[in-house]
Amino acid sequence: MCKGFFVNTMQTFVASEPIVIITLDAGHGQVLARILSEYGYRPFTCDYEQTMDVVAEVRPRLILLGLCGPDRARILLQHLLVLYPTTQIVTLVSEDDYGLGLELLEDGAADFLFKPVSEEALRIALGRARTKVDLYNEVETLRAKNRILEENQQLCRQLFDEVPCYISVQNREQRIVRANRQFKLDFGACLGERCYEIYKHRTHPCPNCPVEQTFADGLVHQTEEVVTTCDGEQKIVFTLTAPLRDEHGEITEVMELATDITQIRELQGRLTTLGLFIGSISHGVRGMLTALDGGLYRLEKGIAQNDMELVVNGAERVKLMVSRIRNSVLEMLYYSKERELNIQLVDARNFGEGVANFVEPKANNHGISFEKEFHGVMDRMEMDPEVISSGLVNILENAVDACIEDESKSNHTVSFIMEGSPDTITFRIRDNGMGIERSHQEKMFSLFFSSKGSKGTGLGLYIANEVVKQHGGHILVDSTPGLGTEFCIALPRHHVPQPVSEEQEKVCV
Amino acid sequence: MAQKILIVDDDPNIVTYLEDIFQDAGYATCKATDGADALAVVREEKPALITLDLEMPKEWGPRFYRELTQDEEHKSIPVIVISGLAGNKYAIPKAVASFTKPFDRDELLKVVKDVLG
Repeated sequence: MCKGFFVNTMQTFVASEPIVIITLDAGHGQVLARILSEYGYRPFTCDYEQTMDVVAEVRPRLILLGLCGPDRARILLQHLLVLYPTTQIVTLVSEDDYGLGLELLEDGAADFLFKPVSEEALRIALGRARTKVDLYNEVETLRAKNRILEENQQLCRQLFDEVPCYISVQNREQRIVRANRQFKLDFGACLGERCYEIYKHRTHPCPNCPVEQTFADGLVHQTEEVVTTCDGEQKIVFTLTAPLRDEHGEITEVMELATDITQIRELQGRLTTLGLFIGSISHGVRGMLTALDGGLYRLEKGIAQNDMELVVNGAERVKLMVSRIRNSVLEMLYYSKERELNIQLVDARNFGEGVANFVEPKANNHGISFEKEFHGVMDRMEMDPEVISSGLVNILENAVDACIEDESKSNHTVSFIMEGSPDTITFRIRDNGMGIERSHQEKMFSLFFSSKGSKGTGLGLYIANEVVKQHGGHILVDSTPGLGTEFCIALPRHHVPQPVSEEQEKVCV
Repeated sequence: MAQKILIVDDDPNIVTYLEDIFQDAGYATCKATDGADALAVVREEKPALITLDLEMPKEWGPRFYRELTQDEEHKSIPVIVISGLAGNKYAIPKAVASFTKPFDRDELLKVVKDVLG
């Protein structure tokens, strides 16, 4: 019944397939050898004694084993199968010895044929045995390929997981279908969730999503994003996307690879700022140094000529320039180094008096009246007095300058008013100077914005605003060009630490 | 009569310094605090030499210089640039000399003396 099947799959002529014929009947062996030669086999005939040598030499895939003494033959069969387990051994048994045939099959023989063997039966049996060997080899090849595949898969998995980037694979609904270890570590269990929910805690897709663009055009897209980890940490990531296609070339998924560039951006922001800063102050500093030379010139000349008036005047100029240079240097130092707030408990009124006393002489020198008022609960408050006082002095000096510059009025007043409530301390700094143009009002707290030309660094109000924000307070400005300006600085009485990210964002822009 | 030098600078402290050193060297001085005023001062005072700052409010030094060179009567007045801007020698190529603040006093006086003879 199997005959038809095997005939179809078997070649009737085989090209030089070696076969070892083991028989004690040399004549029978020659007959078999001749028949097999006709079919294209390369037969080697031997007796039991020679078997092991010949098989070792020929290394056949097929052996034809003729049985004379059943016991000896069985031992030989077992011996051969131990040494050459893949070899197919077809046995020839006496015509009526069906039981022996079965026992040989049990021992591992490929088949048994009754003697005297017909040519047809021999051809079929050997054909089947060859098929078996081929199948066996195919299975072995497949096993080896499978092993390589598994190794590669493991390598891919390992690479995917260990790459120090966030990798996710997303489907068309922007759901994450795969993610690497780093991604899962920082953004939590995310499979099946939407990218924008996991990455950005958003409820809607982000505008200009690179994944959507890649789905649309199949190209690589890149963006820079700010993402939030499950611990709430913000990271700046550089993101690249690439399409993943199925066997028909259709894009079914998109891979997104994101690299954490937070540190680079922070450093870049800082360097840019420092570069801008040095550029912006160099002109002013050069002017101040020249004016300092001028003061020293007068001082030296006064000493040489014993002219006290010149000495005093020279010394005053030197003093003024030294204080301007000092302010610039301090601003630069403040800016080039991140400074922690040094919060202290201070008496609000004493603090206010101190700030006012710093600026009052300058106002009086220019014929500007200086008024100070204290209302409400003064008592004590928490702040970093050094940075707040320098911020307030900066705004007060601006007020005095605005009066000096204003030629439209004969009387000028700068007022410093402190109001205390249980929760808040408010400082009002009012002047009737030249006022601030509307276009300047919007930019006045920006880094390096200055309306003072070479005399300003563009840092004073920026830093004042930053330190007030660091304290959890705010600055409001109300100004009418030609009439005057009022700054209102509100600070909480009790310090609450503020997140610092806003400043960094600003610097990075 | 002493030769007159016009000092154009927006920083009064620097103007004072230049006045001091020029006057002590025997020159007369006059001043303008920005480019817009400077041309009027030139016409009135007719200086023999001008020192010019480049970066001033309202009108920059280069613009003043352009207007000066369009004024037939005064375009031959020599100009020395004294500025806080590095590379200022390119701003006014025809200037007789360029100094970057802070400048060397003796060198400046030497150039002034050479120019005015």
